[in-house]
Amino acid sequence: MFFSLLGIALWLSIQRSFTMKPAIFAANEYKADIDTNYTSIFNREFIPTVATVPTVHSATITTLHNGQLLAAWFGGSREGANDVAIYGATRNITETGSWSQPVILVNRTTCSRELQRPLRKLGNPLLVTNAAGHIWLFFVIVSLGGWSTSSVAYKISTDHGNTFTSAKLLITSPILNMSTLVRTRALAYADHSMGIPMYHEMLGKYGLFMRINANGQILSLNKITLGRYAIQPTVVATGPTQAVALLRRTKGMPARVITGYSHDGGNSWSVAGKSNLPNPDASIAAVRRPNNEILMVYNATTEGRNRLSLASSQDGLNWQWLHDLELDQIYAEFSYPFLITSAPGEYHLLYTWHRSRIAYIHFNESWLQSLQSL
Amino acid sequence: MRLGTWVWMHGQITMLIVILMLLSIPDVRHYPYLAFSVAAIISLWPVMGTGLDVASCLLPTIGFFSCSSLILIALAVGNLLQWGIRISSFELNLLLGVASILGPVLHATASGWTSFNLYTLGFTSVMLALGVGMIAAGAWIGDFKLIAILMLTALWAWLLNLGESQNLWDYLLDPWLVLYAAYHNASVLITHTT
Repeated sequence: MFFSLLGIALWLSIQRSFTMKPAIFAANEYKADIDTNYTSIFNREFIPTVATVPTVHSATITTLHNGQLLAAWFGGSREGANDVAIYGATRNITETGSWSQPVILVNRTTCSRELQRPLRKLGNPLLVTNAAGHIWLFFVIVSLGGWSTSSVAYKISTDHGNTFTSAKLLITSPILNMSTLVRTRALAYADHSMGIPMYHEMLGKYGLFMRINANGQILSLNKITLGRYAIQPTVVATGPTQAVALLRRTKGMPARVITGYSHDGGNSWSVAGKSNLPNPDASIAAVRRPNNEILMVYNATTEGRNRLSLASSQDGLNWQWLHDLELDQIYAEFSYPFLITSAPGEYHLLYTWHRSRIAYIHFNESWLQSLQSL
Repeated sequence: MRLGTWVWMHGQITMLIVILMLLSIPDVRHYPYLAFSVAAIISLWPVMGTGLDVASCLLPTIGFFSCSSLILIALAVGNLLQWGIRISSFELNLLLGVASILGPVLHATASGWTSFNLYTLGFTSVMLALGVGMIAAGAWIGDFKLIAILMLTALWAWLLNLGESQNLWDYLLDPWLVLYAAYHNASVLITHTT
């Protein structure tokens, strides 16, 4: 009896491991498509505010299969307050239009009941649209303590974000599932699984890269960096199995963006070192350009978040400044950029504007090229 | 939340409350079914203003116990209720000795100190499952029945997704087991040296 049960268990374990496909990024993550944008586009607007929500932060955006953009962010009386909820709004990609009035996507009280545990606060959201057109909304939750004891939960929408499933928890740490957070853009794999950049903040501060399939099964969880100084990795695929990770530096001088590389689809990472880009302990965002360069939105200061800029690089280490999107007095804040492409050379950027609004910029490759030709 | 996970969560809190009752009110052992019923009601008792019950409110602090912890807690309850369950002290010391070494290694590699992450093997690696299976088979043949049953239970609970975690390690070990193992081993060492 014992050995029969053991034999069946082992057979099922072997079968489970064989369902895992090689870690190859989806072609649209790294392919250098020809730029077809002839008209230069640069539009800036704000997502409407909610009167009862004075503070907003940490926006994320994704393209939907119905031709719309869906944005999400957290907002409330202040960051970490128990009235913080995750809000969402939509906008048409192709037609001129405006953002819809925000609605609550995740409410702390409801989420607490769904996850069957008390929640103190909600944090960074991350939207991902998978190959089937389902929208995954990952978000940070805290039951005990501060952000360093966070966990990640997720909801799925199969109707373009109109409704979401009940929240489910991801278990990613052996110590009471503490200290895993999300913030930056996800990548698609050829087998339709998703690569989710994550980070850890308790004792150590380091980047992680999780691969999760369409059933919510975690396939791998690997460290991008070690130590106590780098979080919020933004990952850009540069080939079928090649990727560059760019990380926010949390301590130490000089304050520079950290660069790492993977050559096996995110299964292992090596840290190349500090890039020539300043980083005032602030989140960054990056995507692939049609000319194979990497485009980054970052705070181009060593202190303060009052300057939000664009830079481009071929290797992730050496960057060329392109343009200042925002520049104001030292106390101003333009932070937490989130950058995606809806098509090759079509960029959509969200960022926190003075902690009170979420700003949106749509620009294209023609506009970028006009900057470089100046 | 899946039914298996819900039962797991409330079952572990119920057993903890039974232990507390048995330790604080010795006469409770004469009424085991009553003790379990009272403990189950307490674990399901709604906590005002939260929309949650006692077990749910304790979950972030306690977490989900591994199969190893659950079986050891069940044995402890059985022992307190004088059900005559006998476990060899050598086997228990061996189990807790391994847990006290493996736990810190697992937790250390899951931190930012090493590039290798032992914890990630628990998600899909067939090597870990085969390793657990081989230990279970060896333990059964070597007449370490507790270790064998514990490994097999963990393997099946993981395959059936009974708990909240998708990681086999979480069915084998948890931080409370590691802490208890360290305490137990220290006690054994002190007893032997004095």
